[in-house]
This record gives sequence, structure tokens and C-alpha cells, in this order.
Amino acid sequence: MDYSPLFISLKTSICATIVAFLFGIIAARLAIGLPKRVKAVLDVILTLPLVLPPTVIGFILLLIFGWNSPVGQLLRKIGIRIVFSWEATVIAATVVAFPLIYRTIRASLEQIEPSVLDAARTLGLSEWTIFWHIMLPMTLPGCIAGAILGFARALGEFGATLMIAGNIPKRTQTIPVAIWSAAEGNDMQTALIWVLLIIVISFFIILPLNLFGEKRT
Amino acid sequence: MSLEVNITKKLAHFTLKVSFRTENECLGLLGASGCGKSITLKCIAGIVQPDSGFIVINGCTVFDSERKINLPPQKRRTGFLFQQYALFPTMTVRENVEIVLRHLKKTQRKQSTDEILEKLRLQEFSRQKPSQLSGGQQQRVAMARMLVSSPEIIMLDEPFSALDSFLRLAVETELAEILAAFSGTILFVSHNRDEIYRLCQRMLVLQNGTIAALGTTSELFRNPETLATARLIGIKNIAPAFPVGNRKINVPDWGIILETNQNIPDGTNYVAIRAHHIREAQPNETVNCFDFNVSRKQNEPFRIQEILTLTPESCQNNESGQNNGTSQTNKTGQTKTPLIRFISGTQDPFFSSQEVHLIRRLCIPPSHLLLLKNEQ
Repeated sequence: MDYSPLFISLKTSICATIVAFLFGIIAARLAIGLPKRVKAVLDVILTLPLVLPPTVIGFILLLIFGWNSPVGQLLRKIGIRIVFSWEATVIAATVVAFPLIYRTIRASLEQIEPSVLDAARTLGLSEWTIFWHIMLPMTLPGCIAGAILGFARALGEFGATLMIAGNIPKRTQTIPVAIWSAAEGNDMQTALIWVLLIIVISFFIILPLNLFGEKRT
Repeated sequence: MSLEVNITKKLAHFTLKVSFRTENECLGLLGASGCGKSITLKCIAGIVQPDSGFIVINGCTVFDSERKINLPPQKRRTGFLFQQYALFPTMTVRENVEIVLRHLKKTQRKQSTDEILEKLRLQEFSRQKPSQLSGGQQQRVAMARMLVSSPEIIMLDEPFSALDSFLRLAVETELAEILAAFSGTILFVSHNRDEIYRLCQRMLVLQNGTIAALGTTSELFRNPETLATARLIGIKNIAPAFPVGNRKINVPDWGIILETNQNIPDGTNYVAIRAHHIREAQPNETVNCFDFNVSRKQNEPFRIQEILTLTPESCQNNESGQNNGTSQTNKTGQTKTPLIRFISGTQDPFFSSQEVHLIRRLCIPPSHLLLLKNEQ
């Protein structure tokens, strides 16, 4: 049996989580400083990838990175092809993992008592110091939770991945794609192995989240 | 070390409009909850931006709406002690202090931190997190952190409200010592008149965002002058009144006309008498003496509280014609506002008596009668 989907899935999810985490933390920090209405609208936009059908995400990504799009042509000029590449799996997983990470981090940033930050300011600490030494440590549980949720979501990504990265064995075939591919080809046994494997992996990813969460309350 | 504030800010229920100057003293800000005390401090610290006006700390303009100056809190060098202390929960006591001194070299930082921790008796807790400390200890950490930032002025926002009552006096004594060592200006916000009285030489009374009184604390306690001040310093008996002569004032709510020992100032429209200033009338005494029904008597730990209503026979001003509309109901004397009297425990012959509904002849001494204005 070919185990490449497992490694592709793990590699893709790790990369996607890291990228989505960086964007998520920046977006969350910027969002909490915004006026309420602006924040509400931005929030909806940033949350959309969570609720839209994966095919819509895939379609939009194709529009952006496709061969005929401005971005796609620009990338082609410098010799990068996104569509049907491994990088495309990362992009698809990043987009769907981002809302979960962003929302979780933002929620825990908002939990911080404003007077703690005000006190830090009156003590002369720079906004940068406040963010790194006070806000981030205080939101560490939220950051971990966000990363775990984002990783689990990235691991399960299927629709958008299939549309933009395709089903190329040993290159873009992640576990969810492999399951679909095997079942499609009537290879139920292979499909079942992958199904069981992804259930076990997901279980052990989510488990610490709950154990950790209980400790906090 | 001076502070000059002249700001306005529109808030949900009123407009904050304060203007005062203070120098090298502990100035108390007394006011009911939500009267704008904390917002005033936050404006000075730069946490909240006023709509207009200016704030000058030691000659440095930190805010001026006309000249478009608005320094961030980091550059204002104000020490702010928050109600809940606002310590950094993920850091130890030592780290809470050290982060303020980040700009110093390591050895210097350590030395300064050691000094302040020792001064505030915090060395033994230096490795603990704030959540492991008591309220009083947390407050000392907040003070230590604030003092190492070498503030030009110190602002304390209800510093004792988060403490258990039995701890308060001890913590207050400690805080008073630390504050005494600070040579600059201190602003102390509280809704507790006792704290202000003990800690502040001068005080400012805020009511719905405007200054109702500003003056020496002891003087304002002796002669509050305004209705808002009288209420906030805890005077129990206050009623609307109007002068009926140079030294006579009618108090319809109490049903009596009182004599004063001074000419009544223009604009006087309230009178007040402290509950412990109402006393038994001497035999043959007549000035401001009336018969009261003791309608309720309550034993408190160290004193008795009596609720007094005027006997209908003593009522003086039903037929005065000033309150025609309500004179019908006033005839019985039952609708009069009762007065409250405190009697210190052991000196009163009735202390052990549970008897109520007795009639007493009591005197409201003209020397203790307070004449107030309410401009709002």
C-alpha cells in the first residue's frame, strides 16, 4: 500500500497551520483595535471560508491562481505554477483553517481585561512589548486551541483541494482525496484503512484540546 | 509637581466638565458611582480622550484639543493604580516589576527591582504569580510596579474597593505611608468619605460630571455648602427649605421653621443636620425645640438610631400658605419626612429600653444647622 497520502496530508496541514496561524494572529490583533462596525464587517468576511461550500473556495482560488488570471500569469513569469501543485494543497488548507484560528485567537484576546493593557501603557511599555510580553502569554491557551482546531480542519480539507490541486498520487493526493479516489475506484478496503486512520489521527489531535480546556476552567 | 486639568467629554448620560489645579498634595475626588471620577483619571492618563480642553502635567502639555496635542499614555508618566490592580497575570511578582525597567541594563534592573520589592516587603513573594497573593499584597505589587516607572503624578482609582472590609484599614495605613513618601501630586478617587477624609488634605466633589465643590477637606466636612457635597459626606437629614426671614428658614418636609445663628446666604434652598447633632432639649429651652414621635428605634453595634416624626401639634408651617396644594395631606403630620438621630451608646438613658412611640422634646441646635445650595 502507498502511504504517501499520509505524509502529504501531515506536511500540508503543518504548513497550512503555520501560515494560517501567522495571518490569524496578525488579523486578530488588528481586528480588536477597530471600531465595532468595521470589526463586524471584517469578521464576516474573514469567517466566510468557514461556511461557504468548499467548491466555492476552490472556484475562487482557481480564479485567483488560474493560468489566465493576472496573479497566475505573474507567477508563471517567474516560473511558479500553483494549480495542480503541492503548494496548492497548502493554499486550500490555509484558507479553510484560517477562520477557525483567527476567531479563536481573537476571542481570547478580547477576554483580556482592558485595564491590564491600560496599566501597561501608563507604565510606559510600548505597544510591541505589550503584545509580545503581555497579550500573547495571556492568550496562549487560545492560541494553542486555535492551532489545534486549524490543524484538524486543514487535515480534513477535501473540496477546495481537489479543485485547485487535483488528485495526483504522490504529489497532491491527501488522505481525504485518497479516500474519495479509492472509493470511486471501488477499492473499498484501501478507502476504509484511510478512513480509520484519519479518524484516529483527528481523535488524538482534538483530545488534548479538551483536556487542556478542562484544566483552564 | 503640578497638574492642571480643564476638560470636557460627552458621556452617555451627562457631559463631564472638570477644571482644577493641584500641586504637591493628595487631592481627593469624591463622587457617587458613575459620576465621572474614573473617566477624569483616565483622561489624565491618556487612556480616554476628552472632547476638548487641555491637561498640563508639571508644565508639560499632554493634551490640548486646540493645539492638537494628545500624548499617548506611555509618554505622560502618570502612575495609575487600578481598582482591580491590573497586574500581569502570566508574570511573577518580580517580572511584573522588571518589565517596567526593560530599558535599563540587567544589573541595574535587578538592583532597582530588589530595592522596591524590599521597600514594599514583597521579596518573599517575588517568585509567585499575582493570583497566589492576597488583595493587599496584590495592591503592593501594583504600587511597586507603578513607583519604579517614576511617575510625575499618582492616581488611585478606588484602591480599597476590591478588599475585604477587615483588611481595608490595614492596607490603607500601608498605602498612606507609601503615599507620604511621594513628593508629587496624588489624585485619590473614592466614593467613601472616610477614606478621603483620612488621606486627602483637599477634596473635589463631582456630581454628574461637574464639580460641586472644591476645597479643604476638613472645611467641606464642617460646612458642605452644596446639596451634592452634603449627601456625599453622609449627612442623613437633608430637606428643601426657603428663608422666611433673615435668620428663619421654613422646612416644609419636616413641618418646622428653624432659626439659624447666622444671616441666611442668598440662594440657600436646602438645610441639613447631622444625625448625631440632634439632641435632647434642655428644660425651658425653646429655640428650635420640637416634640417628636420616635416611630422606630434600631440598635446598632455602638449607637442607637431613632427615626423621628414631628408630632402633629408641633407642626408649624401647614397654614403658611407656601404649599397650598399639599397642605391637606400635611395636616396629620404623617407625610412629613422623618428625621434620623444617632445616640452614642451608653450615655442615653433609653439605651436598653425597647419602648417605641414615645414622645421626645428634641433640639436642632442652630450652631449645627447647615445651610445648603443646590444649583442644579
